[in-house]
Amino acid sequence: MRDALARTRGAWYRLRAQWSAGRIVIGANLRAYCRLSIRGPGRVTIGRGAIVAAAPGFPSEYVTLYTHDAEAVISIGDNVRLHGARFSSRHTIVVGDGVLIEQAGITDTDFHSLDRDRGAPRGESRERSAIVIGDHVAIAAMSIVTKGVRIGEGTAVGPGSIVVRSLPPGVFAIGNPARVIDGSNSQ
Amino acid sequence: MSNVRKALRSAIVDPKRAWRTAVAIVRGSLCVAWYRLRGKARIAFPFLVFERVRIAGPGRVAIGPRCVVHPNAFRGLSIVTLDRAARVTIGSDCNLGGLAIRCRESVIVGDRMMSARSLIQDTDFCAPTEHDRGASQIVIAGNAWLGGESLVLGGSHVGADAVLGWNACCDGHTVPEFHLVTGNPVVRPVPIPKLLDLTGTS
Repeated sequence: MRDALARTRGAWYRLRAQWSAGRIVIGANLRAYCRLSIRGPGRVTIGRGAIVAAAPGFPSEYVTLYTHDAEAVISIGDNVRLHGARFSSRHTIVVGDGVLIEQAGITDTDFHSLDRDRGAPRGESRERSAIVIGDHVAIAAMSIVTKGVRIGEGTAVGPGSIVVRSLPPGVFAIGNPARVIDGSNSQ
Repeated sequence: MSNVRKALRSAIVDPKRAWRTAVAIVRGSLCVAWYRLRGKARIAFPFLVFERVRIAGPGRVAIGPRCVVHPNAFRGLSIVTLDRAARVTIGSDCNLGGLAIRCRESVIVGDRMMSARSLIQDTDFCAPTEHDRGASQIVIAGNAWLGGESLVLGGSHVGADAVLGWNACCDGHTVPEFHLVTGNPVVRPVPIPKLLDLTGTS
């Protein structure tokens, strides 16, 4: 029953995406167990077979995919699981296939400058600030991935981590800032 | 008798508070009955609920008597068991406002534990994934105090009277008795008597 509802809701989101003039593209078989909020002028792409669910124990913490620029791109691969994940993009966020993100924030911008006027952040560009998350990455609860980070294929980020530097493939990283504690995680 | 007189006196002095407490007791009793009927949790009476309590999942939950759920940063108590074998045991007189527990194996919390908006999670990921380091038991001893936004992960052991600072992340560490830890991951525990000496408040 729950699955059927989630599929129906997913189909509704796909239908709504078709009215967005190609700005939002959602692949087949989306299952939405919670609200999926897509806002902003940028482009959002979700691959096939995605699962969107609330964070366990927090039914009100839904999944957000927000773009803050007309040039912003959020591109999500196939068979991803988003459990209360929050995306904010001004440049580019690319997420690979089979990724699991639980109650974590992923932002490719600082939103504000360090200057006193707190204007647009300086020194950000599509090349330098893009976030690339490889295939089969898992990001645990209460984590943040900041701008310019590349996470290698098959890497896991533990709960409560702040990822400020790129991580190699196949490792386990945790802490603030996220440090690699186990390099033997390669599958 | 003196307790009843004290309660009556405080009800006359602050009737609003007495009313809120009465509502919390009723709400707690409904919670106890609801979760007992559904076989989700065994909560001992009295249970004071000022903010939303949510217990879900196939495992077993036991909460001792005289526990209180105050609102803490808009959150009440949320317990999710992720496995049929999961066991959450909470002692008596705990202050559970803002706490979230996600348990796959076992979480044991002692008496008089205090928590702010914190998360106890004995597994890295709630959804099944090959990256999980595996769930392991969390033991939090009596009179521990979990600071705001703190995080206790699998394999951690928090000693009696210990304090976790704001945003501390205890990732399989052992916090000795009556020590303070801070940081993510937690760094060297500081004995609390030493801190009290330093600040001159002992």
